[in-house]
Amino acid sequence: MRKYFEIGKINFLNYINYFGEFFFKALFILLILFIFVNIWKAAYAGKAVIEGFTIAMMMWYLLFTESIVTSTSSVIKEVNKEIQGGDIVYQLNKPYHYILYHLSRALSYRAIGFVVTFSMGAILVWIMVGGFNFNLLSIPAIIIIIALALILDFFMIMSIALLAFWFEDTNSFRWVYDKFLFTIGGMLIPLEIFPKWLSNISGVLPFSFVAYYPAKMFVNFNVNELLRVIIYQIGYIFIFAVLAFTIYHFGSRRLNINGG
Amino acid sequence: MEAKKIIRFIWEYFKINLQSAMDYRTNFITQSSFMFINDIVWVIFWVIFFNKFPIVNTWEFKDLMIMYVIIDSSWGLTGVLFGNFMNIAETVRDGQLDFYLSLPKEELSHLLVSRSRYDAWGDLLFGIVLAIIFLPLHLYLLAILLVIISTLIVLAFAIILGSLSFYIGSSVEIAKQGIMGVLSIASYPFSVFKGYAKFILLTLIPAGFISGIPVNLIKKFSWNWFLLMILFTIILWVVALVLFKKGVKRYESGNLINIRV
Amino acid sequence: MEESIIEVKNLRKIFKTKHKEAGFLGSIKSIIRPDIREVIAVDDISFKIKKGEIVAFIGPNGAGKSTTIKMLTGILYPTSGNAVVSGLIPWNKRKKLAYNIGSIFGQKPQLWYHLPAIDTFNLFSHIYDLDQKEYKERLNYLVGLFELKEIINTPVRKLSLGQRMKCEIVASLLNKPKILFLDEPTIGLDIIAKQKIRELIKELNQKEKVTILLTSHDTQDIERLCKRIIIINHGKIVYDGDIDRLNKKYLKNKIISIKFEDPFKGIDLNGVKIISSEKYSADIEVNTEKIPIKKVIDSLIKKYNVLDITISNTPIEEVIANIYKQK
Repeated sequence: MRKYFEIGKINFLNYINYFGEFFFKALFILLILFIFVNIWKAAYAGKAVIEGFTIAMMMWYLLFTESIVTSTSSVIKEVNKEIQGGDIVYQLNKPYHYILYHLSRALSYRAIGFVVTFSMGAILVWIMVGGFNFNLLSIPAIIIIIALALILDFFMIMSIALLAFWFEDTNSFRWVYDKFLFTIGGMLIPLEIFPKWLSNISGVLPFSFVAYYPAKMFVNFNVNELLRVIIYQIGYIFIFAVLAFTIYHFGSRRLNINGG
Repeated sequence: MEAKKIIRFIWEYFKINLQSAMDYRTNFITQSSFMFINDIVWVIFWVIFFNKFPIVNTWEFKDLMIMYVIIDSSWGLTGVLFGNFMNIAETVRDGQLDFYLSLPKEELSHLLVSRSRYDAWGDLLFGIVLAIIFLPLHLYLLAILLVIISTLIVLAFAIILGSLSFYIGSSVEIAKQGIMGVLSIASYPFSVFKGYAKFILLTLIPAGFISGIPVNLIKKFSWNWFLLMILFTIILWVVALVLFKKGVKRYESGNLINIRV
Repeated sequence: MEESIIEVKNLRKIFKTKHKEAGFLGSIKSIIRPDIREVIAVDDISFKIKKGEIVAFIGPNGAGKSTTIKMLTGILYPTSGNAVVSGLIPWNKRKKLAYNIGSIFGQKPQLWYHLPAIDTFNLFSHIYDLDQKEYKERLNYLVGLFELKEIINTPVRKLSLGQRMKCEIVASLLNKPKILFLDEPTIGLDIIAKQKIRELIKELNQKEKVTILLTSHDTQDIERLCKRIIIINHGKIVYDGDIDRLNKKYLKNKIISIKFEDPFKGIDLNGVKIISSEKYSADIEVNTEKIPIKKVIDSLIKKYNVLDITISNTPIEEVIANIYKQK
């Protein structure tokens, strides 16, 4: 267990060096925030609250989801390259598991990404729409939910990335996954905006536990919902972790049989 | 004579790219169809949103659909014909430009046409499908013209960002993000933007000219805006070519920060 | 006196590189006060190559070989000096020159991987604006010469390395280049493929008088193909002349490898050194300036029952290594 922490730490320090990269990604988010503040202003057109959200809450919601989702590391690209290029065989020889290795790297990267994006975006959002009633006591819970969301996202992405054992280019699968996160995952707009039938379905799919629920908890903390969200997150993490490990198992076997 | 040669050149490359795609069949089909699905999901999402908030200022639902016709067709066309448009920075950074320089064809166009992005075929197809459903027949000619101009804008913008790698090290990510950024913004309804925002989208980040203005022109044609769009395209191309050519001179002097000897 | 097709005069290339220290502070420093160092990659070299020559252009990695070739093909501007290749100044008339030259970089294939070679050939015919009728004739000729009829319609990825290399060479010859730059053309090939490629290159050179500049780490390539060798090290030319002269000038040694029937008990002659020996065999170095080979062999045969004997020159690597060491 310790070794994964060390891997995470070394990557953390490494990535601090790549501050520039985070900066530019965060700039992109500012752009999206900017677009949406225009869209929402038009949508609100005088109304104070829509489906329980003030316009301020809506923007902070968006900032939060963006900070989670777009902090993604280049896991897919790396895994694709490693599997396609055959470099993975060197990883297979190391005394740590390939997936967990990537997990610790991804988490350290995304933690920084989240902080940088959120901090930069917070300034802009504050200027544009002001603040909202944030429950400070919810911070520990929020941190846990963020961590679980990142881990869940990781395992879903990893499952897709590992398909590189069979498919030449897994990027296209990733795009569709992203789109699902953006839409039914509630990244762009909270599920309340959708027609009832859609928000019901989306609310139980794993995507919403990466973006919607964490962000909803942030802007409108509900201690009654807390346990349910965390249990679902852990449950889905378990499912996708098993999926990822299974794909990896069959994939690396295939590699050994075919000799790369 | 020159023009004939260039068109022949693009055509020959297009054929060979197509052959490669057929040979690489599963990859081609997967990427293009997933991109198609990608585009469907995106459009459906916005349909739902605008069902709840019919607020696109002066735009109606059909205008939004036409916007997607334009953006998906031009983005798709760029990727199909000039598939390396997002890889300029990488090519320069990795010294791959040498290959194109050592051949008797103009290196920028050669670099651009030597690949066809499979995902772009999905975008292009989607744009065409949407056009069949939502675009009235009498507007086809105008739409095609606008798509071509829009493609030129995307291309010029990509060349400008890609050429940064001649001048700044490790700008590969900036270029990619920048190009994707413009695509993103151009995928949102332009009519919501006012004031400063609108200005920026018609200058620094030309998303407005890529998708927004074409829709407005199709809604109600205005010679002023049309000529402005053409003027903008020309200026952008001048900047792009100057930046690229000057960059190549730098490359040839071998003094790039990241050149490998 | 035949005119030179490549003429290089006092060519110099200095690179300016930014030297950046590691770490965060280093990055800050390099923005405020950049440490720009000059690297002299090519230091005042001059040489002439005549039409039809096959010249080996070798040197250790980083010696300035690729830089020189890049300047000769016009991809790089020199810092100072001149070069004229096929009547053109390469960096001024790169595109025009490109029509007349061909290049193969052993490690960077030109052929499209998933398609049959014929498709790349056709594409090249358009890249080089070849007249289609002439192109077809030329293609048939080359395909016949290289015996590729069976394989040009097979996807390149399914070909063996040797077959791929032959196709690569054909691709670079379609435009009837006057000069061919070959970089590691036989890398990774088996012995038979190597020999075949060398034969073909030689034949082409004889038939069409293609001038060839060969870079190779394979000394057999050099010995079999080239009469002349230019050795470059630290950006300077350290040798430019005949290969035979190289052998004769720098080392007069020959190596005899012998197998005996009886145990080997040594040999005592002036100018003879035992490099290695085992119970029934030995490698002996003979300094032919001090003692003729015949005498050594006679002496060995008198003393022992010789089963097998091989006489070879000092490997050219050693010759070259000695030159590197000296300079």
